[in-house]
Amino acid sequence: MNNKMFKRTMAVILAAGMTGAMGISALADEITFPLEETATFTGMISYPVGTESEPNNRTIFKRLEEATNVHIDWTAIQSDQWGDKISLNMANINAITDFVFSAGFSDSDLLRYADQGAIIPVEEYIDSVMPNLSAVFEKYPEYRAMSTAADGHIYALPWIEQLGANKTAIQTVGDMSFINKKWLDFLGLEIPTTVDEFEQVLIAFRDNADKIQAEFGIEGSIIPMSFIMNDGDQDPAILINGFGEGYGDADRGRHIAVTNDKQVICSATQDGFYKGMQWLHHLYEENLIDQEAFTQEWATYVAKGKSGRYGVCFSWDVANIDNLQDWVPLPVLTADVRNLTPQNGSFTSGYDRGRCVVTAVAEDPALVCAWLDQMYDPMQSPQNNWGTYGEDDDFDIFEMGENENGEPMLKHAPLGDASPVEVREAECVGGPRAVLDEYYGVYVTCPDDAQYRLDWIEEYYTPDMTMDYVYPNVFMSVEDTEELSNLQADITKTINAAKSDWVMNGVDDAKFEEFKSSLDAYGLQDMLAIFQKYLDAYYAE
Amino acid sequence: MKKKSRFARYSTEDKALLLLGYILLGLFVLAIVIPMVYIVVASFMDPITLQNRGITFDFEKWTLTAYERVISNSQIWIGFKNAVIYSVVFMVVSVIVTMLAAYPMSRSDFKGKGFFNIIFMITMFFGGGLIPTYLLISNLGLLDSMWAVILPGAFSVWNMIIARTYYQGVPQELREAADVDGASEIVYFFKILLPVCTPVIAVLALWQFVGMWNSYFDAMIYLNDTAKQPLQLVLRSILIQNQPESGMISDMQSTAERAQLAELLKYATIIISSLPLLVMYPFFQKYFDSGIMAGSVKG
Repeated sequence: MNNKMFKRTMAVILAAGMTGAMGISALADEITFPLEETATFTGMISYPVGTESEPNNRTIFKRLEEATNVHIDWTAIQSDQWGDKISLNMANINAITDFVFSAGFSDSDLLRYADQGAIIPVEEYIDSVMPNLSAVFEKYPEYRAMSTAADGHIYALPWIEQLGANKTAIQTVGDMSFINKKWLDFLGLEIPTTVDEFEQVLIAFRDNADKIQAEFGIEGSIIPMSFIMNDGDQDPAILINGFGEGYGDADRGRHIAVTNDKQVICSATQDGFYKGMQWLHHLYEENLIDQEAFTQEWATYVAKGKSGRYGVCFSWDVANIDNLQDWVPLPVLTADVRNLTPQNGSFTSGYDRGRCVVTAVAEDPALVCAWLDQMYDPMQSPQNNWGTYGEDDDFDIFEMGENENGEPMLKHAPLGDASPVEVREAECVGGPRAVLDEYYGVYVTCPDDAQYRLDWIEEYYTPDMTMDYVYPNVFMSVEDTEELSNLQADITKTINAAKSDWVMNGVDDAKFEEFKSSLDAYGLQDMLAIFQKYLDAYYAE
Repeated sequence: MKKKSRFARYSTEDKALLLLGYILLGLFVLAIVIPMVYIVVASFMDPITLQNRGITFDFEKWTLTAYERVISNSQIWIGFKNAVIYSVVFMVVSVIVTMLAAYPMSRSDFKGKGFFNIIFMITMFFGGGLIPTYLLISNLGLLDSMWAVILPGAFSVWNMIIARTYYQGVPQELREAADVDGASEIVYFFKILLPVCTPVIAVLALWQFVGMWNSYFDAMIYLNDTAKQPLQLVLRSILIQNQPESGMISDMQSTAERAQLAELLKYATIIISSLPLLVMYPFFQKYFDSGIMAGSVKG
């Protein structure tokens, strides 16, 4: 690096540090787009494999450049290489750009880069030059709270995608369970509503395997129930939600739940979890569970599903596993109680804290922020999220229509034979954006695949959500993030291993007690205390 | 009377030993052949059938879809071209540098040999680390150019040691004879030494070619332009699915679709990417016998 460049960069970094400390007083001038003089920034962005590699050739950015008179020199990185390259580029003063459009930084990345002075706090720019984002924050103050670090700064611009809200949010249930309606009808069975009925149905699937196989011409043996243990949405945790007090194990990653008096508990040390595991072991002994359920990978799981071999399976959407016609969601099963615990963090919908950052090399951070605020425009955000309209090539995600009041609205267009993913990836640009629940029907139509899932949640699950709270998406300090990841390393591993072991080999009181004491030895109480601290702070506001 | 076969003339212990040898070697061959056959057959099969029933020789079940997808992917052909260019250039540069460096190191009358030896050895045990190396390449202005992939690894100490040892095995008389005929060091090196060293050159060339052909990491770190990516990096992009954006609804679908596609292409891409190497080996094989020294010195 040449010396002059270094000095200049250092000066910018220092200046940025000072403005941060003194408050921004020189921002009184309103920034209006299009600018009178073309401004040029540098930005880093990722793009999906096999799509246009020059972002400025994407319709969305072409239109933005016209509308704002801001030209962006992009460093575009293929998305599969993003993780490896972004940390190198952040360390390289020659490569770092004014802003990182699709950073996707974790909490610890954000805090580390902020500590090094590589990225700058943006909260004052949000208030002064980002009207669109401010409006979102004003309407949903929780997003502002979630974006603010323990030191009071906001270091990144978030991505927000709402589909449904609170107990109807699409994320409330990730690992939905589905039951093969075609088989049920063939055997003349009803959809089960209790764990005992459920067991009888599985037994019927097992005992009538030959008939089912012959009737539907299935290649390969019949599997009454399959899942992938400890694999996010493919985990069977939802089945045991009715046992004990009904906390279930909805947080498959952290195994925590929040009680109605706002206490954080470990779901895996509850009696309900213990009883539920015993019950699953019983099903396993009855030969009702796929032998490969503990070891298979996604590809194997889907291959068996696509051949129509499952009676019950678990996933985000059964269309990924088999098809939509033959399957229905399995309602909540009653055991001791009837309850469904929503996933932690789901009440605030889709949210990514570290989506976009402004770096210390930006010479005019206010202008950069003002440009980035355009992404939060209610007509712009859905396009960045899904894709755009009116392109010359084959298919578009949207067509421009009108809403009830005759105002322009983006309507999801029929895609014909085109794969929705490919069209979306060819058009959308990602980055910071906010798609709020109230936009649907006003600025944009709700996408079909999301809509039917939202309907499922509302129909099958929302009425049974009897708990008041989920653990919110909180922004912890550096020390707590580190402490927590150290504690979780052992605790999560122990719990996950126990789940597979118990379902396969069974569990008794002695084993359960030993399991609880080993978790305590790994610092379970310290872990809960950290979670509790942030929960208290969250609800204190 | 029937002539006894050679085998029958062996003693019982020898027979047992021979049999054991055949069995062990047979198992060894099977261990190599079975995975290869599996991959070849699997590349012609639909992933769902493959997962459910394993490979089959029922040709009606076979399909060419995977190859159609691979061949119609222009990115793969660009990657193929790049991989050939990088591997050939890397091979040439690397062999030249290594052979030239090894010569002085093989001479006992070379002053400073010990010093250079230490310098070389240090690099075998310690590296600069990823980020400093990246910054170096960046400051040299090599980012996003093929030299970023070729230059840093071109000189390999290990290969230099092998070449040096080979030089040292060349009879001293050769140099003396050349000396008598008035050959300078340069003439001796290029006209006499290198020609008798073809076996080691072939070995090093093959190693370097294969090494570059199979590598993707440097290319991933230093190259940004999709038009410059080598084959292995392209294949990696196809096989490693796009990271779904956190929580993005439609990406759940895309991940599922991609997983299926990756499964379909996996075996076909393995075949396509190993074909050139399979084709190359027979051509290099003739250099692997060291009989070339024979006749260079008359005893």
